[in-house]
Amino acid sequence: MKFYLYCVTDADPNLKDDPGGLAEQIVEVINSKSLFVVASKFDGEAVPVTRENVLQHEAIVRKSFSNTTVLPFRFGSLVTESGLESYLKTREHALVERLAQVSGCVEMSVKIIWQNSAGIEDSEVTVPDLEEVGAGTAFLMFKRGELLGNYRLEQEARELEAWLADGLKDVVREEQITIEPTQRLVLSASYLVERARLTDYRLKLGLLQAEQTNLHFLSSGPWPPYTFANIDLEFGAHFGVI
Amino acid sequence: MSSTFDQVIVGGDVEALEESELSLLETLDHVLNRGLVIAGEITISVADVDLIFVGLNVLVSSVETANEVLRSREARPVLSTAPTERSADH
Repeated sequence: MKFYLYCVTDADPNLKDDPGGLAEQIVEVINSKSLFVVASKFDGEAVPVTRENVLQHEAIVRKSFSNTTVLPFRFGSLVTESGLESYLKTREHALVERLAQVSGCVEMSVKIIWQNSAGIEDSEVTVPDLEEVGAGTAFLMFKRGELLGNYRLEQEARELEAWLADGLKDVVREEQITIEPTQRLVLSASYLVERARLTDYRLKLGLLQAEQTNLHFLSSGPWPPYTFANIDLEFGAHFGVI
Repeated sequence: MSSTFDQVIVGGDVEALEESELSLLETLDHVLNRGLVIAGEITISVADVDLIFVGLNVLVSSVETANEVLRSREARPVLSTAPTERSADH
């Protein structure tokens, strides 16, 4: 029997009225020094990725989040009792530190999608006419166009990244931005925002969106801090791994 | 399902998606792709066809986990991930 893990919290999340965990198991709160782990027993080797299971995981994390500061586990985290004990023992310091860093904050997500007229489809390369040029020349012309198109997209994506980061810097505590210049979904950003600054964040983002009417914005939140939960880098730094 | 969106501005291909579908996509992105990872301790199986609906194709290019789910469905019915490779992503 293993434990399925939902999140680590800094206090007892008081889940007495919880709707139950995955596989209809009771949700337990396991205390280890200053940490609390929300978990349920799981009798199986793999967690099925179903709509119900994903939403159940999110619901329990969100319920814990409403009462405490949480670090959500990624879906599918199954661990033995001894494995969990070992994890908490070796990473307690990093977990406590991370909990303090996300305390009082929520995660907000922004995705930006190129429109047809402004983004990736503009960079499509024209295939040269093989009757006018040789195959070798046609190939080189095609590759040249492709490289130039990709370079232009990357420049635009980086400008977009800088513009968004600059516009929101005063209202966010941390950010993680990924750009994919050659994809329709060009930018994916996660922001750690203090609850007290949520209104300011929304106002700022609204103003920024109004500046870029040629882009699609997909904004969601507030989320528990999924993106800011991982302590691997901190753990590695403690032990000189990185 | 209640929406997690406080603001949605969409157009083009994504207009075809309902807000609830977008909300599910965002939930999948967060729950499957982010969060604390204990090395070697993530084990999932992919069985629910309902989860992968047509709207996912719109955003799937950048939602890495969803791509992995699709690929793994084609390759084999059960997937054991290697979280140590991806734990630095987030």
